[in-house]
Amino acid sequence: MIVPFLVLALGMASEPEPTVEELLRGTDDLTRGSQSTGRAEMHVKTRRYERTVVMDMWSKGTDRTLVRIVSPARDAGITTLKVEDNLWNYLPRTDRTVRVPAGMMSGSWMGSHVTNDDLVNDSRLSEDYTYTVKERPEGDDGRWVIELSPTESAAVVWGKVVATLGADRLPREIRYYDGRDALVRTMTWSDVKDFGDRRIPSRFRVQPADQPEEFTEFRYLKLDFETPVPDRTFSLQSLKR
Amino acid sequence: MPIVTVRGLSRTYTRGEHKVHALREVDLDIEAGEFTALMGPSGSGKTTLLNLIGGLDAPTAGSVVVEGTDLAQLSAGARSDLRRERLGFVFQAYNLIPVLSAAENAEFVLALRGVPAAERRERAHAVLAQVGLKGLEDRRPGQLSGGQQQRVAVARALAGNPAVILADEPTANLDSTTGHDLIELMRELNTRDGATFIFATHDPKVLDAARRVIRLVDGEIDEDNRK
Amino acid sequence: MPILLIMAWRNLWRHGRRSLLTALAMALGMAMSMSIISMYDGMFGIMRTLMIDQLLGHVQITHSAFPTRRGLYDTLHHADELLSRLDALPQSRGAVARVHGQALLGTEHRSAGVRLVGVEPSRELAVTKVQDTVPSSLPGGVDPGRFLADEPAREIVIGYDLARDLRVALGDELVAITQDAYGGIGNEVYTIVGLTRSGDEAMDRAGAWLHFSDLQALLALDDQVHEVRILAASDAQDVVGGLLDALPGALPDGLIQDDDATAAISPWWDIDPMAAQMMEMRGIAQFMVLVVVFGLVALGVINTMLMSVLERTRELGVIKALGLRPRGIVWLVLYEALLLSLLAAGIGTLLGAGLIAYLMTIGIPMDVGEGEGIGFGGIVFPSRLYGGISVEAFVEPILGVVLSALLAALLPALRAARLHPVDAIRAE
Repeated sequence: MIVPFLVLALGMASEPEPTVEELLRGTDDLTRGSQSTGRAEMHVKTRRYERTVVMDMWSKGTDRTLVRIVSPARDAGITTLKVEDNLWNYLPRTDRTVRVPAGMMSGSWMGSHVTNDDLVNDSRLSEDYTYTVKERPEGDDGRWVIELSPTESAAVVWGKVVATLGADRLPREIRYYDGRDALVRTMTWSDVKDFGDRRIPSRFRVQPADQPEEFTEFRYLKLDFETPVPDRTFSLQSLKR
Repeated sequence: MPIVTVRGLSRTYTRGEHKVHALREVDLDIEAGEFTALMGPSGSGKTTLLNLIGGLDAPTAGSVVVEGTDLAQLSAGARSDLRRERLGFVFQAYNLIPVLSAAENAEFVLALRGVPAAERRERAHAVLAQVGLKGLEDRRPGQLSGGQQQRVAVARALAGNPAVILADEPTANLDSTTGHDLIELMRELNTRDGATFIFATHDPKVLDAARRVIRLVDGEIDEDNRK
Repeated sequence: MPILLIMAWRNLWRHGRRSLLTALAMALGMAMSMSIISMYDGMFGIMRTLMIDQLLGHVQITHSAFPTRRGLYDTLHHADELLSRLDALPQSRGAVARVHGQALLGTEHRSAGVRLVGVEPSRELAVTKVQDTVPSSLPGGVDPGRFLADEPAREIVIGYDLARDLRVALGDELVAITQDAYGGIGNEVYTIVGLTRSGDEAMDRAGAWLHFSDLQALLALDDQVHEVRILAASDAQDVVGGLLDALPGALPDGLIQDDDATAAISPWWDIDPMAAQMMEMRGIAQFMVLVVVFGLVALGVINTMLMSVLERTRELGVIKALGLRPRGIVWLVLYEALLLSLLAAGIGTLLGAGLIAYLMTIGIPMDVGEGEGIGFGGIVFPSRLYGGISVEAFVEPILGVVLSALLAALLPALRAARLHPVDAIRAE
């Protein structure tokens, strides 16, 4: 869902007053698009360690993503392939492709505060939740604050989600609460930049509520929505390259 | 004062459904230095009377007083003590301890009393000499004749200087001559040393030697004759 | 000598053959229990030694959370300095550092979750003999290979049962995949050089040994270790106690770098209370054996003494009539049993000493076929088990034979004491 390996055009720029559905769909599809190529830096800080991982990324359509780690050297070449709900890791040192088993889906991806589940989960704010608008911007001032509750049929772990968007319709913050209304984690977006003709936040931070000194921050170094990405990029064979 | 005083002594056994009156209200006094025979047919109560005097059995009624001590007042342990300290016993036969030598048998009672070994050994040798068994001290009962064994038994009874020696059919298992010799011996011990003897017997030789013969019939004293 | 004792001794020899046979049976029971105690001495001795040497060490030093949580980050720093300080302690025979981890271990086709233990082979050889867990042969002529080389060479030694589950053999490559200390995917290929069969289900079925540098690399643990275990200079309680007292002063600064944790110094009986309990079970097991053996002995004594008393009813009656108190009669019978048991104890001690000498020098073979020792609960026993010797091995059976005889004679003795002299003399 909201993991922003891939960003894409919000595509509906100039209409004066968007519907809430459109806003949410825009946030959902911040990570999805027809195709993209890019490079990002992931900075992880935990009680135990702090490290920076640089990765190259490719995506196509709504549910195909490939991420290859560039540095640090120890992990360089480790590649993650996501196709629909499936996740594989390729380990170049041992030349192994390992499908992430169901039991490991809630585990951390590459030591970050993003879980494997986050990578494949495709629940959508615009479809799996009912909403209440708490705040609306006045023209270019103010912000959108939308409180969302999962529909009964949605396979969602959260009890409540509160999304804040700017008047520019770009997401600023989403807070995730558990069934007892306790904050679990906060995602924030910042540093809006132009990548080609798209304007999107270039920083994205995940903050677990129970570990205030820990976080994971992504920063986009490059994003290219033009270069064609062939379908074979997202095959098990290409994992090994 | 008599050594043994018997008053109203009765002993009843229960044999199945029947009550057997072994002794019926017997009164009797035995003085120091007596040589008395209790006689009577089998079942007349003579052995019962002897056992009661010796504290080996408890009366149904009446009392036995030995040297002023009423046996009825004593516990079983105290009766054991009284037998050991004040009475001598000679039984019918085979009443020696087979694993002990003649001397050891003779000193057995002294040993139970805790008399020092040297002293009792001396006494044992003396009494064995008295009964004519000098030189046979180290023989085991199995190496002695029946008469010799009974002499050892007499020596054992004598060794502790008892107030009374109770002898139950001492000659019953001896041949006539040997029996006669044993009676002579006891008679001599009685006259010379003043030892008091009470016999239960129907041996005529004993009755001849006795100075007092008490005849029991059906648990009652029928005759009491002093010679 | 008291006359009752003389009588008891002579009575014993009235039926010399019967007494001797009874004494012989008692002596056999005694010799048997002596050998059993000797084997217990030997078995529990070697079990304790091996358990402490191979499985636990006398004392383990860990991060305070490690014993319960076994977490990847519950580590000790500066292990090298700690080891060299421990080597200098007079109460220490040696110390080893170990790294622990969990990983998915397998081939392209099969894999299993496995417990990894990282060791320094040269140090382990001198201290723990962990190398012995690789047997010299395996069932079906399977080559067990060898333990890890002294230098890290991406070698792995895995449990025999695990090798069967994964369908791998010596020389095959296994891939380990795990989450490393930086949250990354630690992964490495190792070559199988040995198979262990220690009888420790957890290690045989789901355990593997690596060189600790290799495991540190896999887990991205740098120079950290999870455990330092120390063998005391001797197993004596005062030496182990002295070691425990000396250890807090030997810990280097910065050993634990978590603010909310301390160093845990745990003696083996705290680490494995079950094992400590098992060592104490020995006393109960031994007691049970003694109870059974001497229960049988007592039955024999009851029989002999009852016969002896019954035969002498008349004689006992006479003795009683002569003025021996009932308590004296009890003593007369007990003396006889006592002398019988002392006779038995004499014969039994000689017999038992002979058996113990045999067990100590020749021993009992324990091999499972090819001269290979049995692995049980993670301890590999030697192929021959030898008896031990202890004061207990003599004192307990001697006390056993004497006390059981006295106890058994009590019934016949009381029966004799209750005899009525008049009836007894009239008997036969």
